[in-house]
Amino acid sequence: MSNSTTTRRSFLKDAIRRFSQNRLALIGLFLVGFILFLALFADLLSPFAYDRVYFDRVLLMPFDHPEHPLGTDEVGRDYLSRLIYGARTSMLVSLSVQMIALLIGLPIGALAGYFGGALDFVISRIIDIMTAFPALLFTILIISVLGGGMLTIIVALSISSWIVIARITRAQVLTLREQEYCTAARGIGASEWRILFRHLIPNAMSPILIAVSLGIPTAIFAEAGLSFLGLGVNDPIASWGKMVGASNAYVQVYWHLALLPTLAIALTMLGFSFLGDGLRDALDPKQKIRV
Amino acid sequence: MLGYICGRILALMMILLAVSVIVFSLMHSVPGGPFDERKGRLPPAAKANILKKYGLDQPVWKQYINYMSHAVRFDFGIPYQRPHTTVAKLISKSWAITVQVGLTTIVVAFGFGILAGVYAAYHQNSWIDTLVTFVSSLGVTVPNFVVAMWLILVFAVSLDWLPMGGWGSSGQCLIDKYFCTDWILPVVAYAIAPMAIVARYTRASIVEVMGEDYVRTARAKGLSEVKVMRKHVFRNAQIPMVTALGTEIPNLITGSIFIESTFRINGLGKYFVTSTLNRDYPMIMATFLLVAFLWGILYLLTDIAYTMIDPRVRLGAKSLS
Amino acid sequence: MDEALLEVEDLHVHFPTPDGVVQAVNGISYSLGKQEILAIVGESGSGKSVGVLSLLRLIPTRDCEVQGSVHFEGRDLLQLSDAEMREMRGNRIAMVFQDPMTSLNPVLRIGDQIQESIIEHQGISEKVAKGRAIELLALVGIPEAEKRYRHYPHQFSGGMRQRIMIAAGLACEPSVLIADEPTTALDVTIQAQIIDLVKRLCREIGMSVIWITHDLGIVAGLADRVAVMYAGKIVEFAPVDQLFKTPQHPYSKGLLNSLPRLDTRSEKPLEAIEGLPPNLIHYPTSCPFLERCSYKTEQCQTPPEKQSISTTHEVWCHHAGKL
Ligand SMILES: Nc1ncnc2c1ncn2[C@@H]1O[C@H](COP(=O)(O)OP(=O)(O)O)[C@@H](O)[C@H]1O
Ligand code: SF4
Ligand SMILES: [Mg+2]
Repeated sequence: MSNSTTTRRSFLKDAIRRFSQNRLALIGLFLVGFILFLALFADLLSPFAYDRVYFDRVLLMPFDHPEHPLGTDEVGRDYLSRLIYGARTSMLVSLSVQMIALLIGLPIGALAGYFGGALDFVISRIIDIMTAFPALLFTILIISVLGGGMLTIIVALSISSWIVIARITRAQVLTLREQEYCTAARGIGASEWRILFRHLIPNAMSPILIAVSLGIPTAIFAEAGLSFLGLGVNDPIASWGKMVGASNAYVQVYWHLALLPTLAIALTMLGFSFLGDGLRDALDPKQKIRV
Repeated sequence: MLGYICGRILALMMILLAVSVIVFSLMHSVPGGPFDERKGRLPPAAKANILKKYGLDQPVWKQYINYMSHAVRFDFGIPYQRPHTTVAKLISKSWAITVQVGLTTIVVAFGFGILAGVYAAYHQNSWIDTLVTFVSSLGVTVPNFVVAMWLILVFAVSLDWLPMGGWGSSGQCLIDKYFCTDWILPVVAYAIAPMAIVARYTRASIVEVMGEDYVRTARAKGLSEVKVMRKHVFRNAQIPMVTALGTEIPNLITGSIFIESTFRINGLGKYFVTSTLNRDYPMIMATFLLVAFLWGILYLLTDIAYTMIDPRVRLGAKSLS
Repeated sequence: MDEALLEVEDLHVHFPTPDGVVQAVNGISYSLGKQEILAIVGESGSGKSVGVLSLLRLIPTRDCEVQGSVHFEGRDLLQLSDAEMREMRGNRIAMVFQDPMTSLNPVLRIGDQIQESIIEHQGISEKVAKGRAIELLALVGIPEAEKRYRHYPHQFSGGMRQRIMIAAGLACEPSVLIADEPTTALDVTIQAQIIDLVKRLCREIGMSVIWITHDLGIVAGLADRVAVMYAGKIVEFAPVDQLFKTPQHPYSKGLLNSLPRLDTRSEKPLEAIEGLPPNLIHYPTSCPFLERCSYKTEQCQTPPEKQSISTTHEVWCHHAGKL
């Protein structure tokens, strides 16, 4: 046991060393840290409330008005504040979606992979059907049924995201359960559940973590994209995607309305995917896992 | 081979059936239909009338059987949003534009992607190689509607070189109403991500194949460099490229939705969004069946393409799971 | 051996790498006579492959620096243009590689791979080339050649694939066949069959062979002369029976001692040579074998010159003839 903890510790040390030598990963970490900071302290950082409307300050350009350094939108809300609150929406949706996906997908995938049988059959067929068309379309279908709104989006995205986690967990557990230490653990009389939770899941964690971290930008994209299409969060909640969608009509003159939220989306997604790639390189140096 | 394909088509049918059941029951599982939310309260008699007209007063399973018995004859009903046409007509009209957008994009993405990948593989660590790597990591992560907005800001707003939207309506076209100036931005925005992926795959697989022993064998036979590349390197490098095609299919299908709504193109993607906003169940159902069908067929074609390129792959021997 | 077909003179091949220059081949010279089978023996990493690949200029020029000269049919191969070099490859000098599993293109029919050099060099039609390819398949002992012509590499065993590689090598009736460890990846029985095949073909077609191996054991029944390589240099060069009877270099002796001998029933146990070959980036200024040599003296701090034991037997050791 102590032996395996030391190897795990040195593996972690190696992973941290690999990560800290990866320039892109560090840039990603910085970007992600910054966005999370904005999201957490949005109320303190933003000069106005995200839904504060100034009827006499509609469509101001950046720097036109001393109180609105990044201008205002088409109904007269401070754009800087909305951008900061947009980070909160984006993070709230994407992080909770991945959290829920993990909470659902991990146990289901692990049970299916470990116990096999009818359970595995049913879960595999569900995965088959869910992968028979693009996940985003499925999300849109659920939204069309449940109606828009933050909660619906989180539910809809979670329903399509847990599949990814379940599939990876199932595959990992399937290969790991045949390995020697499982047989050994069984030999000394460990119970099936103990083997599953004490031995298999910890060892399957690297690829699952990688999948979760790479799932975050996917969820960010989904929230922004749905809101862009008008299927996402409802007014007056600030969302970068919705800001881009709304800017479409004004972009000829008020270019900042389109440019700023698109930059925010791009930087956030780059940040998370650099971080995810960095994590993968650090945790899986042989690049066995493709997500 | 034939037996395998038949089996796959049968499996596809089963999936379509499952998809139709799921979509249908999801759509009918919530109280309220297309006619009670946005339009305000209707008098009960009028509402009952409308429900009857669309068959919404019957039990769900009966509605489903009714729907499917028409659907197999390509009769998908009448769209709620446009009562004067049929779903089949609306789809076939908007479908043509979406196919144009999609095919042009595929040609551009694969054409330029392969060129860039080959060039980068041949000139490893040159500035083009760096550029390809850089653009491809951007193209893979940044969503296409974001890229589309940037292109609009630069080429339509700031430089005023190209129109902001539309499809085939700019009046400046190569042939009739095709290949117009308003095709350029949507296609570029749409193509960037698949192009990046194709370029990456191409570069990686060519670099790998160029180091293979059989390429050295081909050189040792005195074949010219062009022949070595064409006959030995490209054939083998195609295998991972087919994989790239396979993984790009879903993105291409969903990508169209964003491109069409950014550039105000009246294709299937745009109708899909309006259908969703209006809970236009007949349209949603038909689009879903169509997409699931397309996706299944495209994957089947990818698998067949594998066998044509690589004689070691035998269909049905062990399916890729 | 009066008239040499191929003459390699003072060949050097160096690889500049970020860690330093890898001195893979360091001034080797040898000649190959008409219809002769020359074996080049040495442990893995001694520069055998690099030494022959550079004859055909098959190592990308951006990776390596080649010096020396390779005379063949009155011309220096190292000075030819790229197009002239391609004319030589596969046509006048053919090559068979070590691993038949990876040296054939998996996605092309084997018939196609055999005939492509004939089509390239002789400009004949596909149809004629096909007939020739089927003949070649029969010649190298593939049964049902006509049917097998249409098969893919994965449908053959390792030994069969090596026969196909040989058929492809023979396609243009080259005057030199270079075989780089062609039997290393094969079973012992298959190995013997391939050796017999090459010997027979060599006689029938009248071509010369350079046969590379790390296994001195197979050389006895195969080669006319043997060059023993160590750390990118030839350390001993002799007719095969002289080398086996009276090896002069400590390294050759070591190699022979590590072979099971059937003829002498010697009581001495087999011994492996201790130690490792020198680092090719920091090439020693002494005799390269010094560290592993049990005969070394003060003198060995300087690299040994060539010593001729007889007109045909050459050794690069300070103590040659005195061991
Ligand atoms: N492209 C290369 N770059 C650097 N070093 C190389 C290259 N190719 C071969 N070498 C080195 O040259 C030496 C001789 O290799 P090789 O000729 O393949 O040996 P062998 O006798 O086993 O055939 C080895 O040490 C090898 O590492
Ligand atoms: S020169 Fe000296 S070190 Fe080198 S092989 Fe001969 S005896 Fe040994
Ligand atoms: Mg070798």
